[in-house]
Amino acid sequence: MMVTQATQPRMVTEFPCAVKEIEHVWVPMSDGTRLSARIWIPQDAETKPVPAILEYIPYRKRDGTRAWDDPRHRWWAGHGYAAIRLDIRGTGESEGTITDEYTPQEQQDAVEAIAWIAAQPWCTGKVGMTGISWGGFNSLQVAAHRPPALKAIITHCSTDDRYADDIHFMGGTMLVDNFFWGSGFFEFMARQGDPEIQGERWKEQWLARLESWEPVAATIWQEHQRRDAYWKQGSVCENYADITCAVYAVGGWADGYSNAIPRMLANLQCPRKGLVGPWGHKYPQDAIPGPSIGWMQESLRWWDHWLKDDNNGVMNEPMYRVWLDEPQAPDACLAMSRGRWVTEPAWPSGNIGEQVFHLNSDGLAQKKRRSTMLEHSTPLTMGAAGGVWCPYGLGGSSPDLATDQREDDARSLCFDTAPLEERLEVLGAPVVRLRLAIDKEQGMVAVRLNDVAPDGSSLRVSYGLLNLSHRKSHEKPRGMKTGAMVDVEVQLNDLAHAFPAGHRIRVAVSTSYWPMAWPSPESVTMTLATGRSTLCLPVRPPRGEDKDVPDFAPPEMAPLPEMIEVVPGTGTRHVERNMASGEQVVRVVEDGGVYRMPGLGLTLADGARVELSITEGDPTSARGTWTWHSRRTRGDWDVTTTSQMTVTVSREAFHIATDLEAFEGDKRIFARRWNHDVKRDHL
Amino acid sequence: MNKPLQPRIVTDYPHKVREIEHMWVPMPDGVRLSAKVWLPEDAEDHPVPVILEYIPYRKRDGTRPRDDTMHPWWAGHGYAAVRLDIRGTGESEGLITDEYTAQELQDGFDAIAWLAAQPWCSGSVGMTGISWGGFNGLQIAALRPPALKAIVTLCSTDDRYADDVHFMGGTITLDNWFWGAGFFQFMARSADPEIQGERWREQWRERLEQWEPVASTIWLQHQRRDAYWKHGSVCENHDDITCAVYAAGGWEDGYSNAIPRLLANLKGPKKGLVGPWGHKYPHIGVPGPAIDWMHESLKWWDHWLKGIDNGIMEEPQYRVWMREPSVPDAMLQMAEGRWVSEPSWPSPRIGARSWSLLADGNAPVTVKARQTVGSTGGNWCPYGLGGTSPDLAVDQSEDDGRSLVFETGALDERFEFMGQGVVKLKVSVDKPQAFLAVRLVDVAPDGTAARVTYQLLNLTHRNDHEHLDAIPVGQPMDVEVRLNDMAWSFPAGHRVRVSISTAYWPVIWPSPEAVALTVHACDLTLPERTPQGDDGGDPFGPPEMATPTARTVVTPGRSARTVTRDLITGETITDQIEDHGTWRFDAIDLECSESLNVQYRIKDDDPLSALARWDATSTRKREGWDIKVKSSYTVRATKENFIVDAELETWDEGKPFFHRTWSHTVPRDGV
Repeated sequence: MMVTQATQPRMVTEFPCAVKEIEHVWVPMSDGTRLSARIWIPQDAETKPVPAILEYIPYRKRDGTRAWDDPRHRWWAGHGYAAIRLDIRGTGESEGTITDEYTPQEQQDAVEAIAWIAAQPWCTGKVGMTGISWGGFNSLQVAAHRPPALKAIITHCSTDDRYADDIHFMGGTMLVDNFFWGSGFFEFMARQGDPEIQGERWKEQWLARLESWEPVAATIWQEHQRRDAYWKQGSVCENYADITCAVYAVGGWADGYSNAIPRMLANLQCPRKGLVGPWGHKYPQDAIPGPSIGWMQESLRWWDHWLKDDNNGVMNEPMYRVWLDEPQAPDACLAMSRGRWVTEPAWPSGNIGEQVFHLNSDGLAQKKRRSTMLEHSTPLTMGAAGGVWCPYGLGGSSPDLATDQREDDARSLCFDTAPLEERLEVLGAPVVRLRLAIDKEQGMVAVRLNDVAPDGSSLRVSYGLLNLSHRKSHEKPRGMKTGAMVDVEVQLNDLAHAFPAGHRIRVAVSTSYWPMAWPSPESVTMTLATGRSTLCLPVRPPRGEDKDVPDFAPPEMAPLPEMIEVVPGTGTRHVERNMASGEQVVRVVEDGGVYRMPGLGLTLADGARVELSITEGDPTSARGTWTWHSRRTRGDWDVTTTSQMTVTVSREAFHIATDLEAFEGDKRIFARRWNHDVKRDHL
Repeated sequence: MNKPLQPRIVTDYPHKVREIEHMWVPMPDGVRLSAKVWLPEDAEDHPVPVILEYIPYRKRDGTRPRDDTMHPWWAGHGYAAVRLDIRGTGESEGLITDEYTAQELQDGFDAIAWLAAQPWCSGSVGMTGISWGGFNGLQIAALRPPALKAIVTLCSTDDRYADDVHFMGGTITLDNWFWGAGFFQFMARSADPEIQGERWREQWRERLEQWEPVASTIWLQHQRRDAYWKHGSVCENHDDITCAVYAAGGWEDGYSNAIPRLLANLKGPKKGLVGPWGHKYPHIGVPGPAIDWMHESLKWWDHWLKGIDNGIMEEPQYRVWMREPSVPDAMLQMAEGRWVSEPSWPSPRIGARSWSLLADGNAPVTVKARQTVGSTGGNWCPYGLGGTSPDLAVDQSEDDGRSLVFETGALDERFEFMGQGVVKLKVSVDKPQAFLAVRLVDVAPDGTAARVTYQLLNLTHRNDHEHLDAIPVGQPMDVEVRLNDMAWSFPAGHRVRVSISTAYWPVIWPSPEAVALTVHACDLTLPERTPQGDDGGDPFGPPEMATPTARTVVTPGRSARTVTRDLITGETITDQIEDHGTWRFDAIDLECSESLNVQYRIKDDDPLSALARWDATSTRKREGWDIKVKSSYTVRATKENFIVDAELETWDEGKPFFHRTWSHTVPRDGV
């Protein structure tokens, strides 16, 4: 259903500086472990030192992120920077072992690496750090340690709060993507180093990795179902004042991580900027849904200002810039978003007002009506139109976005305004306050904010989840008292959206949201008090200066590495319902196909399959299976890693079965199975 | 799941039964029809009335299991039960060319005369059957064969255009081709050499050479209610029928409307019964409860064929199952509700209650069709019921969510209706070809939405199904949609919902363009029935039947219905599997297999993406007889035409025997 293709970035091959590329450099750590870095640098940097830009992630610079790295790092190097792509300890070609995400060891390594980089003869001593997702997270975490040489960071699609806005939890409910990521992380980190870098020791090191590696999604993460010290570690929101260097936070509305951007603008005290486009989990120069922007040029202005003291005015511009989108027909593969850029001088902004709507028995209105009690129990297959929590797969291949909400709306409690007489534009986080009771001790609510077009189609513009046991605290959950009315507040995801005249605003409330979040252990019936429940919208009246917001430059980047397709990849998402059993199965295939990288002499195959099933009426029937594989061949060298994680639940516990296998050719050289039963903790 | 009561198997009867596997019934033109007969052993000395069932579904290897549970039972109770294969089907000679042909009806007429003249027959004949055999019971009764005294017609129709598998409200059903594809496959099988002898192969070739995919060659050539469909529709003159008629069926069946219509229009003696069942005999009716239909029918036959004054005609004329809502379930086994009756139909006890759900002058509401609305609608006719096939409508919410919905408030007290609901609408549409799918839905306090009844209306047929009227695009039209007959009890606190869409896939073939519908006014009137003192009880008793046919399962069957949405292409694919597996009829040493795969595909935003395909395979195998019949039917459409492809392929002893393909392009005629 792709209609319009996003603009493809222009490939730039001519740069102000001639670039030298160093495939592998050892960066020594104080404990003797060596991390492997790939470096792009101006050819004359030894004589004319340059600042460094560090990206520090576990996704294997050599055969994993090459297609992300080449177009950006070469571009920065060509514009006078030493661009460094460092593999985290125990990943890719780096020595040592990895034990989890965002560990203190990982952060300490980065502090040491920054000091080492700053001390190199080709470096001016100023370092910036950047990255998307993991690399966005650890840029913030490392900045909080204040390495002396670190002057600025750009953090993309990341979070300052690992419990509130990471892939594990949402509003205290457990995301199904927790296991998608957990199983993918598991397989990814079980891969070997390349013998061309590691030499003879590659296999010994691989086996050591395999022997030490654990399915942390089943062990560590699952042991921490509430917002305890484990999640506070690495959450820079615990003390924003730790960060003193300049921060540019960037993301997209279709991504799972956009809430952190306005929150950091509001709470950091350091120099800061925020940018939210219409994008998914992607860099803005090559993002979907489009339009993508000239992000390389924009980032260069940031680095030039902070690392080269170029007074280019980047900090005189408005602090917060966002894409304010217009409704479009819902499309799981939306290629181009309609809308416009708007800015706010600071965030929070005095330009944002508040409009309160009451959830009345006859709809959503600014006038409060008499309170009535509405009962509702959501069918468990409600949510199939919800897309994924974090749309990774965007790039035209993967149908990740929410589709027409009507079939989900029909199975939720909906409150609609009359058709709007005037256009209403919103920027910020809507808040829904509900007075409700449930008939079980454990329950959740999902609240969706939809834009209903005159033809009836319903577009999700924001949503929020709340584990009702977490209504007062994510750290100290307390079960609900059966039948007792309570007031709860659900903050929905930040958004910037225009509801045109004639459209309706819809609030849809439900008691489950599969396969986004694991359902509560028992079917829940909710009693909602109308006339006592509200929606508060952050309203942003259009301003004259909106017209003057300059456009970004057109997207450009350095060329991608040469990749030759051998077997094309596929990305599918099928929702299958068995009309006899009432079972619904969501099947996802994200297969990268097979391709060759002639530069490395490697043939690569990667892919994932997901199967999420549930049977109507039985929340303990929820089940997920995630299967991952990767294969690398070069001549006789032929290595494969596969993993599978299956999660089932009872009323009391999660049951997680994990398999890891590794092969050399057809020969299985490693196999291990784990079975974990973990009690549900108010979940 | 609450299973319906299984019929008690009866083996002892008042009369000892003789079974005659094959008997030739000669037609005046020399063609011989093959009959299977069960009769009391002493019938030659004490002649008995005949009960005739006359269908094309192959008594020997097709309906054998069903026949064995009924015909010996009647024989054991003093009747000659005759199962006659229609000309050109099963072991009968000659050729079949279509359903309900004049030839078929004349053959039935002649067979009745022949049967009445047999020494073992008292001269009185009754006719019965379900579906086809229910249709031709009515059609032959209208020819008034002198010996025919009474019929029992189950799951049939008096109006082949209004209430048969082909059309609904002037729209074309997908079941039209489902049935067309099944008919195409079924009639392409050969006769059993054990009956036909050496000639079987020659006769098979003759059958195959003349057999056509009539769904495209005949039916699709008649898209409006023309003379073709009036033939065989006894409603054209209900007065033609003078013998006694017992009409029975079920609410979940596609054919229940004909029962109250026959009661209202026939002038002769008549009775009507509608249970909660699908397309099934009432003693094995699903959803249950099943009833003791064998004794009920016996009482009827005893009265009309033996003149026994057993009081059956003093009982209420019309008895129905008053349904109560239960959680919607595609494989519902037992229906909630109770038996209620009316002394006559129409009944003066039925009132009317109306709701103005959208008053003219209020803001009109609009919805543009998503082509997949209808995916919760089940099958037009739930054939497969019996615990195996997920055929029934499921929770309506997701269809309703994409439709225009009008609701009453929560009902203060229980409300029951019986009969035909009427939805009066003022509507406008933005395309010159459009239909309305109108559903009546029971909404429970927790939001569970159960379909109560529904109906379609092709808007070019809004005034007449034969002489069509163009749609004034964008102009409001007043239309009336008469919903399928139903008896339903809405509990207090439930809401009554009317849902309207301009697509209903895969029940109805889509209009050529996606239609935006605007409703300006919506009134609902339901025929209210006040509960009566004699409601409820168990008027029939538990079901019983004769011993089912001995069958050895070789490979078990399976059935499935899955709906898969591809979120990239926006295509929804409905896959239905009805694989009956492989089994052996021990009595005739015959191994049989039958399977059907159905696939319906459509994209949400493109009615011309609709594609339907049916693939059927069957085999018959025994020493000296080894045949395989493979058939397929594919339907798609452009804005102007239907494009129908058919293929028939058969094998004899594993070797190709016959192969033919057809491709027809048939213009759309106001659909």
